Amino acid sequence: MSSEAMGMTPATALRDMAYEETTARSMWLITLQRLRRSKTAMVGLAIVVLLLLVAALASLIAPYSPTQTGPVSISPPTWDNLMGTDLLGRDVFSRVIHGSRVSVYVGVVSIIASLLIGIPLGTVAGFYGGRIDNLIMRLMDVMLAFPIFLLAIVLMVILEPSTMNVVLALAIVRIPILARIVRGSVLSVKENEYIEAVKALSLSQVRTLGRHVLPNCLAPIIVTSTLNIGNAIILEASLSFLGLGTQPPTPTWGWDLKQNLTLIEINPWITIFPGLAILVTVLAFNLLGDGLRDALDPRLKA
Amino acid sequence: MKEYIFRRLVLLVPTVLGVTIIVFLMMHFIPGDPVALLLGDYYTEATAAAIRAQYGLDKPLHIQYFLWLKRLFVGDWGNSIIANRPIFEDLMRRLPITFELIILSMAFALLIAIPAGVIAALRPYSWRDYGAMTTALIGVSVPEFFMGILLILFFSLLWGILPAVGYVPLTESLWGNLQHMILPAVTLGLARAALLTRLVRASMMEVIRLDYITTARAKGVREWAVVLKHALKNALIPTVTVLGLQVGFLIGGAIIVETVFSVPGVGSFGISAISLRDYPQVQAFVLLFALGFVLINLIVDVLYAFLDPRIKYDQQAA
Repeated sequence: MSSEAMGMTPATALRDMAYEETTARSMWLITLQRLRRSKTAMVGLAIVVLLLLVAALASLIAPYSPTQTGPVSISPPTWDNLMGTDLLGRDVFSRVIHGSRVSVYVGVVSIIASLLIGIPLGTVAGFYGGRIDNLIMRLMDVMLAFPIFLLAIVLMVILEPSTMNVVLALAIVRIPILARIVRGSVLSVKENEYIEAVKALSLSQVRTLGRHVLPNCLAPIIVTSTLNIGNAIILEASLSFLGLGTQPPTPTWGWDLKQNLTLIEINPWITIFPGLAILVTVLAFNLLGDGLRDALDPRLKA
Repeated sequence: MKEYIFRRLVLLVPTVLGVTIIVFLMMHFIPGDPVALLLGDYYTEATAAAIRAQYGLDKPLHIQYFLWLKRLFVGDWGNSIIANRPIFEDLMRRLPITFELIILSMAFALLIAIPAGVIAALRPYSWRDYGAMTTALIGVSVPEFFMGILLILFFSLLWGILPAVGYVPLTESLWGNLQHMILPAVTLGLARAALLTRLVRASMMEVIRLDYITTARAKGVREWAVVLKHALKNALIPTVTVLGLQVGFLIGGAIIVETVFSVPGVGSFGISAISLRDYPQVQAFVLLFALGFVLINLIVDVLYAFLDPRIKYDQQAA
């Protein structure tokens, strides 16, 4: 199946590439338009934006310092303490607000870190194939032989529990699946004729990868990454709940929930509010991710 | 198909070896000197050297690995530092409990997800559909420990109908056992149920559009038979493919759920081992769960071979 036989000449390949460039720019506009049509996705987006603002402006919004102990302990919600106080008299509302910083930080940074390593890994494996592909995928398979949460726990046992190490562990845990997805996309795109045409034009391989292979893999990556942020937040909360994550006194939703759990018969509210915070946050990212998935779905392109 | 199963079994060996290598290396990456930990106040250079020689810690790493592997095979999974007891016995005592929890959770998840997904798919975009999908979305967004706590709050503390913590062995009392296992199993199963509902609905909606369903209906097959026998059977194939992955989440989730509900299984064993820094126990716990996961994936893959007609036909054509 030579390029000439398919009717491809350098001229037509160049023309196709130019067409791709112009349509690629409007792809983002179309996606945005379709996203706006989904009300649930917009709600998710709004909550995510709100969350980012809260995390960024936590010190300004929170009425008290999250680590400042107070005279009234284990109080139910009052006008002074909107979510009550914990065992040490700290304002739970302020702790929940400041807790968002850890969640957002861990969620976003761990996903970005996993992308920075996973995308190149998957691309190299898919594009070059052969022994490199084999080697990389074997390594990924061995990591995938562990349940994700178990692997995260193991990593936190090896690394001392801290927020940065949670980011590292959650990034590592994400890489195998991400590399697989990217490799799959690269493989399916590799077969396309216009890649053959580009190769026939002897463009450098990196340019080929960057300009033509990657943008087509972008859609599934964007969707899974958004959903993964919510997942990462749950994992961070779970690790903190077990004491393997962010250490006290830094406010984090997972550990706060655990701390206040022993007082649940006296005051269930201080356990419920951190949990609700996690729920609403993850829900928002899931709504947004679902909306993005529908907006980017090529099958729905009219 | 036999070829597929054989190939799958052959793949098992490097996977298991890889798992054992990682678990072995994991122990060596833990910060701190295990000998110093063991000896505590009685640490001297001489005793340390003697202990190292006794446990073979002075040998090169790969020799240590093979010795460790050999011991695993004969059932010597190390001794707990704290309790000074063989770990294997404790693990084997707790394994059935975790196993029961996982089975009950999976059964609960499928019991909810399959009917809900089918009903939602049969009347898409109705209030039934939206209701099911919204509930499912919330279910996926709740962390398992929070769900467990909420269930304890309502069913134990508020209404007092189910116990919050503890465990009663099956041999003692079936009802007692179930009473203590209901909340943990529901907690663990709900997140899976949520995801599986979405999956069943999606694949059911695809299958029901296909031509052979229309043919069946045209032939006069009754609606329930069309739905159950023809559509559902094929719609469930994607569900089986993710079953292995779901069990992985169940294993991970069991760790948290056992901690929240104080179920004496392998998961809570591992967590207490971690907090007590009893590293031989931690290693055994990780190894058991990882190997269990590998085994379950193997079973699911073999099961999938029986279900997916394409694999059968491939073999026949070849």
